[in-house]
Amino acid sequence: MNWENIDTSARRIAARAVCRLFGEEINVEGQEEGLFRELTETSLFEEEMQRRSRYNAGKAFRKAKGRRRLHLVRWYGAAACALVMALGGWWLLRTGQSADGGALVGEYGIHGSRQICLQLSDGKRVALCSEDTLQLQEQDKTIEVRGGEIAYSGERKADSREEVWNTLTVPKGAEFRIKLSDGTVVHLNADSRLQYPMLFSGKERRVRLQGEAWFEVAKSAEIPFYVMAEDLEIRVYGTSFNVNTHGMRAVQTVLTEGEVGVRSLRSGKEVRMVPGQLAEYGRSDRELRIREVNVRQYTAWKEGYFYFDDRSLEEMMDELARWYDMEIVYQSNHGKMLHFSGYVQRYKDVRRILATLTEAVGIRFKVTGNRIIINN
Amino acid sequence: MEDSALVEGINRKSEAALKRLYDRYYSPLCVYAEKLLNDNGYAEDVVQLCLIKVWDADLTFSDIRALSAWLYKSVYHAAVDIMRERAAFKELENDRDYLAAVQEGEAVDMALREEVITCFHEILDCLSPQQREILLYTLKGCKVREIATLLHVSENAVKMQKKRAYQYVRDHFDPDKLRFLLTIFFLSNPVTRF
Repeated sequence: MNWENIDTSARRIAARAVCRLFGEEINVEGQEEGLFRELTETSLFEEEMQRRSRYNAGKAFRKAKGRRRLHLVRWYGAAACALVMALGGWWLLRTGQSADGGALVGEYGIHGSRQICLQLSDGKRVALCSEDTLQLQEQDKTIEVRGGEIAYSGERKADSREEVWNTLTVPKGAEFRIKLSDGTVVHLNADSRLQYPMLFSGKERRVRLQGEAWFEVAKSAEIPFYVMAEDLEIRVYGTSFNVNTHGMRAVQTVLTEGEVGVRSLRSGKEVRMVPGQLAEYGRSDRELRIREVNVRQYTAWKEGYFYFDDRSLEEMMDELARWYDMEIVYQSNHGKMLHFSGYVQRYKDVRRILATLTEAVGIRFKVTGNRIIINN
Repeated sequence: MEDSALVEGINRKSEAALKRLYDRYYSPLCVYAEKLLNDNGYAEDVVQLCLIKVWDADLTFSDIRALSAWLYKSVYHAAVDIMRERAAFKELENDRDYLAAVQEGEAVDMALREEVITCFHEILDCLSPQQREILLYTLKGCKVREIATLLHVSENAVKMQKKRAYQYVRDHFDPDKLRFLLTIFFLSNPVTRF
């Protein structure tokens, strides 16, 4: 038997098996006999059809159509990286051909062993799972949790003086979306925490963030929205932006749409940002700096990608560690100085990314349990 | 869509043909990859990778046999690559049992198994609803009398249907019989007989 004979041989076995089942005295010989028997005498057909039913061809076809577009997008990414490499001689982190077939956005919260946790105003903690569908009662209001998303709804109470605060904590290796009562959507990345009132009251909307989140703030001219991130206050005028406090050197705010004002609580000065800009608040000098950036780099995470632009091995490994919930152990400091640029899919298995790195720059990784050991 | 039309459409990259390609091959190939990899985590990725190649790359196929052969072969090689990658990682942990990738000969047999199921299913689709029911009951081990009761028809009617069905299937689906019929056609054709 060889590959080219499969089709004819399969047709023969299937046709004769059907004839046999209808009562014709017919047989096949040689190596085909085993399959013929299985097909006529066991429940092979039913079992195999059952197995196939778990795969959805229609969905896969639509995904493939969409992915061909994505393919192009990634091409641009690769081209940009190649340019970076040519200019500075940096290492290029290739996407690897397997990215074509990788899982797309939507497979969240699968890596973490620790739980996503919602803390209610009375201190009660509720563990959430990305597949959960449940309803919670809090102060006569209902909170809906559905497949990786929480939704708050309800009227704003003009008269209530006291806001009821909830806290959502997302551990390493997970992410979660939340829709606040005003319609604002917050997409929380791994290892992050958001504190927010169940219902906004008064003349402003204020939330507190630790870690990284993407905000799509519902427009409201009269009631400004504030994000408090460490000692930074970001005032929002209806917009989409990303805030990240994970950085070692700075707290970063990137604006994709609309307008925000960033203010350090220490200096009290507000700096206005326009789309395409990054505001970095230095941890050591407490200075706010604004510069133009490629926004995609900072928001790729919410589409299921890692995007590295001239990042050191250490910074990059930190980000991988957060997403895959791994601990990084350096056996030598040798590679830490290497810089990388690249655009890579957030695979289910971190080893696929590490393999690409090994291929590109020869760094060896050893994965044991939840540790990545780096030795040159 | 006829097999020849499917192949011709794929060579032209027609969207309808590619849709049909997914309908016919996607699930079987996924199950195939799942068995090769011994896990279902990457099965869909592997299959998509191969099917997208049909779509994007400059590939043409002479007939359905060549198409089937190419698809199963590609999925096999992609699966072996993944196994090799896994083995390389596992080696670091001094665990060598991952190296057990399926040999090519065995992979061909497994591919044949998938195609047999697909062909069986296609033949079932071409039968009349009653014939199909009779077949499925027979598969479950029912006797003619039981089937007759279940379908509210006489035993003779069941027997008649069965006979008609196998004659139809034999004449239309068995590749050996098809070749035989074609030969007769050419031999009986005065132009080709010298």
